[in-house]
Amino acid sequence: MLSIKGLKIAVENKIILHDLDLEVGAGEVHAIMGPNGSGKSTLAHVLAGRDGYDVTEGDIIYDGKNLLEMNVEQRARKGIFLAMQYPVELPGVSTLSFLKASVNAMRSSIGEQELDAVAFMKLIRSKAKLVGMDEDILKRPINTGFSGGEKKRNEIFQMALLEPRLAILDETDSGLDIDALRVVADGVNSLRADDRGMILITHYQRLLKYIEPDFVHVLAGGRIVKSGDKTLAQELENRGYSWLEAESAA
Amino acid sequence: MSVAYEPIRHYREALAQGLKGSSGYSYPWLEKQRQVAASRFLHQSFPTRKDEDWRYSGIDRVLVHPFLPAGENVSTLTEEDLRHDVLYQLDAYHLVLINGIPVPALSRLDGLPAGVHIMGMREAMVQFPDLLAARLGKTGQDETQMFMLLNRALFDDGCLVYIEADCVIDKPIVLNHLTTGLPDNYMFLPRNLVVLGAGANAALIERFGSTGPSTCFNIVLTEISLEHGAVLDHYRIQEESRHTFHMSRVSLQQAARSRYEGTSITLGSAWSRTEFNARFDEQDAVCLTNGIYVVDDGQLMDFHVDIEHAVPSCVSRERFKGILLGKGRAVFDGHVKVLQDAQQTDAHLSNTNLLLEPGAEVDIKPQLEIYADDVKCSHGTSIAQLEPEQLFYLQSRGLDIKQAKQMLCLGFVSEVLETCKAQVVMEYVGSLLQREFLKLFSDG
Amino acid sequence: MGASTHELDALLQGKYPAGFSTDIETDTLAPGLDEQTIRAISAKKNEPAYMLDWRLKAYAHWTGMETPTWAHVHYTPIDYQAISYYAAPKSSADRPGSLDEVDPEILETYNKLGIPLEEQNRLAGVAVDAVFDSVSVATTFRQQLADAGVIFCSISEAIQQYPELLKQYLGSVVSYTDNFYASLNAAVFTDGTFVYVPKGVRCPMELSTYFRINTEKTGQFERTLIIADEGSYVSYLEGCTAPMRDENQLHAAVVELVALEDAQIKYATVQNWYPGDEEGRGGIYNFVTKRGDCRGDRSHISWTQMETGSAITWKYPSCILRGDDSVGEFYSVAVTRGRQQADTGTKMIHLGRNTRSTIVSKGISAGRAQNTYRGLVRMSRRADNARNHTQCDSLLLGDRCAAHTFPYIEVSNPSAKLEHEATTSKIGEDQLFYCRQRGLSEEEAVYMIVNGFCKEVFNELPMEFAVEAQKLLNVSMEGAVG
Repeated sequence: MLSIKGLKIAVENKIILHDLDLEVGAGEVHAIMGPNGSGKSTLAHVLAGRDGYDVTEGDIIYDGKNLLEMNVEQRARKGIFLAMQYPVELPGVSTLSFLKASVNAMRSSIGEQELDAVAFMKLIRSKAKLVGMDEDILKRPINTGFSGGEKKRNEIFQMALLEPRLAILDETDSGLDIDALRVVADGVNSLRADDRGMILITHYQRLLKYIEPDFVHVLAGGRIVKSGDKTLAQELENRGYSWLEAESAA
Repeated sequence: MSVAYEPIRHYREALAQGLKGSSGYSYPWLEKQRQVAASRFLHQSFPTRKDEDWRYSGIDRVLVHPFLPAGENVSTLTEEDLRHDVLYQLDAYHLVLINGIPVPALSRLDGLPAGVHIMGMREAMVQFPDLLAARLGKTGQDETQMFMLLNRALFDDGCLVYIEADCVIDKPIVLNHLTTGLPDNYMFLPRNLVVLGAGANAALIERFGSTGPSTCFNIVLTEISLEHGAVLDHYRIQEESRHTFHMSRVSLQQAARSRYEGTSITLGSAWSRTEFNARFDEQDAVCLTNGIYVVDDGQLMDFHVDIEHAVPSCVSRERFKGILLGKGRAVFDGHVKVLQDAQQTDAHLSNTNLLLEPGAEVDIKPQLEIYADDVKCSHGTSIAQLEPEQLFYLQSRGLDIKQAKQMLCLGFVSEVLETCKAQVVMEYVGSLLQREFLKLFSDG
Repeated sequence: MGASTHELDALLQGKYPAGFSTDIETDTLAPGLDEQTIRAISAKKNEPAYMLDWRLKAYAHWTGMETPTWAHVHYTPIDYQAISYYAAPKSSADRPGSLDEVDPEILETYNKLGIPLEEQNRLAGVAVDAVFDSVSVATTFRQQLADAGVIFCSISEAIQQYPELLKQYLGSVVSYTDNFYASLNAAVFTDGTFVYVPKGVRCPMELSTYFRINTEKTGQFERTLIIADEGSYVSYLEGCTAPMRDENQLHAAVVELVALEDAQIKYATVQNWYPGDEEGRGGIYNFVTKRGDCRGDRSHISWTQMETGSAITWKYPSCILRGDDSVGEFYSVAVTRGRQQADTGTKMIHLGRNTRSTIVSKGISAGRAQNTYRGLVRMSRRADNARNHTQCDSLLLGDRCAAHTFPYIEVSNPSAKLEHEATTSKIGEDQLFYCRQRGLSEEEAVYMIVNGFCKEVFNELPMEFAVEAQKLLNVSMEGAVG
């Protein structure tokens, strides 16, 4: 589904990611872990197509197509979803009308008819239930004045609503208390599917107690320094990152 | 036959008279500056409240006094007289100016580090003619403000603070401007220049005080130039007598990566106006200006802050807090202008006021004038009172109403006070404010 | 936009301003302004002596006045002797015969705004009276209003029929000496609207220019007077989202509102006059004086405006909060693009006790436009416990436009509380990225964010008007994005 080969990324002439390879197949959940500043969020932003990153080398092939040739919304419409670390506030923009525009943008891009208000509300209700989302929050301007937990939950809710092919969760666990973390994890687990790939980007292992990844990769200094199964996460929890950084430097 | 007093005629005559006086030094560039200023003064008239910049600060109260330049005057003040001046006792380099003229006998400038020059303007004219030719009067070439034109045309003395590149001075510098010992109706026109070379670092305290009750007019022009990476902490403390009229201008020019942090504390004088102009000439400079003013019955305090962002990536912050009592009046006019090339400008201006007694008035004009799009600019103003709940809380803990007000007012200004990096200044200003509040709330 | 713009330019240059002035009808006064012009206007309208006197006083005062120059706008001086101050309504022969003869660009805008066909005919000035059954609509509404005792008619009619009300209220909020344009208006106004809502009456419908009895041109010097008597309520909608065709460059209208005890007036405006071409040629100068007087205790006046048109907008809908416990509100969206200039805002004059005011101003500037908020909040010595909250936000789209905020705050009462906040910024990159990541195009994202920015103001408009305002905003933003 997603194939990253020899990716090299620079920001203002500074190399952030070196020679990165990653294969994500349908139905797989990959966890990407790493210390702060290792380039995890850069990878998430590059996959989503954010400006400001120079891809100096390498390819990203998504469903057989060159992802790097698509702009942000084209990627989104092809099913790439990024749950953001810091969901941005859009003052005055109601959550409902935002989501309706989003759902319909996705639908019309694949030639499906736009949902009318009734069908849309029905969809919203069912998905809200799925991730335990308070419907009152949908009436407020999106992310505006939301607590940290509400913002993250809203991201998971949107993921449920938009049913992406490839979901990238950028530090969705950061700043959440244990209850909120559980809700987020439950939402993610309920969305695991055979035709859906997921990339969980996280600094801590604790999210992985609730979401069992198929693969764990450690990103350090802009490179994947180690890959393994879920036991690698446990090892990281016990030993920290420094041994890996030392190992890769050696 | 007596002619009725007419301010503009009086000032024009005073100017003509003053220009004839010899200042003991002369340079062609300086004479030209004086002539330009004098000519503009003679062709203009005094502003009225119809002039946008003077909308809220009428100058009739000033013009009614037939002020005349003081010229040479000998002060009889001794060190003994200053014994109780807490600021004078600070461990600092002191330059004392009496009625606008430096008095070496009272100044304490021994042991200045190499590369640090603090002296009277007359002396500077002899020692640093090239520096002055290059720097003096470089701000405000399009000056039209009448009182500043007077200063530019007639100034005779003042001071120079020149810190060479990469010099760091170990103690604060105090420019102590005192007025004393003259009969009524004199005006003083000191001219100050502060130059910090690249990478230099200094703390400067400008203090304005009076030792007697004579009616006088201080017209002060201070030009500051910060070169690449220079850092200046600048404190201005104005605690003149209620018989004093005060008009001062600070013109600041900043080169790349320079940093200016200003704090002005204004308590004194009958009528005062402070104009602070900052201009960024190069990128990545920072200008922070804070102020506290306490206005009592019969006083008017006017602040005009003009910040011009002409180049990208500079930061400006202005935060002024005012407390108004009696029939006091305050004016705050803050203008932030961001020109087209000044992308990534970050500018914020705030002015908050406590209006405590009937008859007090505050007029605020915060302005944003923005011609660049990638900017973050904002201003906020507010007017409020002390919260009855807070007063009640303090009273329920045993404080009387005066103590409670005093404490809440100190709390209100503490945000600005705490930005004073020099501990000695913070303490001095803190005790000054405490005394002021005690006095103000003792009879009400 | 390329080709169609040129096409439009070509069309517009034919129409603004020269197009209509070619054949001067007999019922049109020759250009020029003197006392005789005033007398002629008054005579043509068959006015009683009190009106002529008032006009002449206004004219005499105006001749001693100078054009105000303090606003942040630039234009070549207006030649007041070159304007014709009275033109009878156009005869059918001068109008387009059908929509086919109307500028296609304008029609496209109508369609984008979803304006019904019959409405398009009226707006475009098509001379097919039968299409829009204004007479019967007007009759129905007129009956309903009459049953409620509401007077709603042209100000010319009111001058004839309700002289006592006119003598009492006309010029009582905006005197003929008020400012240059208000004096000019007082001298030469040709028509406008008059509304009187009697004691205790809640006006049974929104009064709107859509259903205005006198829908014909009221000219460039319009005058509106609305009086809400004790305990009454009225909501008035002025203007239209569709671009109005008008050949007069200078518009100097005056609107006076009077709210007596416990009365409430809501006044909403959508202004979309011709803004001139891309180079700033042509376009309407909209120099308007609007003021409401909260004369009675507990009275309430709110102004809501959406300003997208005109080459220059100069207007400050204001409230004089005279009655105790009275409330004034100002909600504004001002969009400028191309070479448009807007200098707009409000004045809240707190005179009574416990008076409250709210100001929400949203300025959007694109292209090479200049957008200025200018406002005054004054709390007088007597205005105990006065409250004001002001929020002024500016959004910049493009690096050649400008946004300015010039508030004036004057407080002389120690129980007054006031908060003022102003911000200026562009749309955040992170906001755009977030929207695009959810599948919206950049353009859609900008619309959505800008609409959100204006939301607080749109919320104050009547529902169907708010929808139109939103559409208009999107149309205004076209070509401004990217």
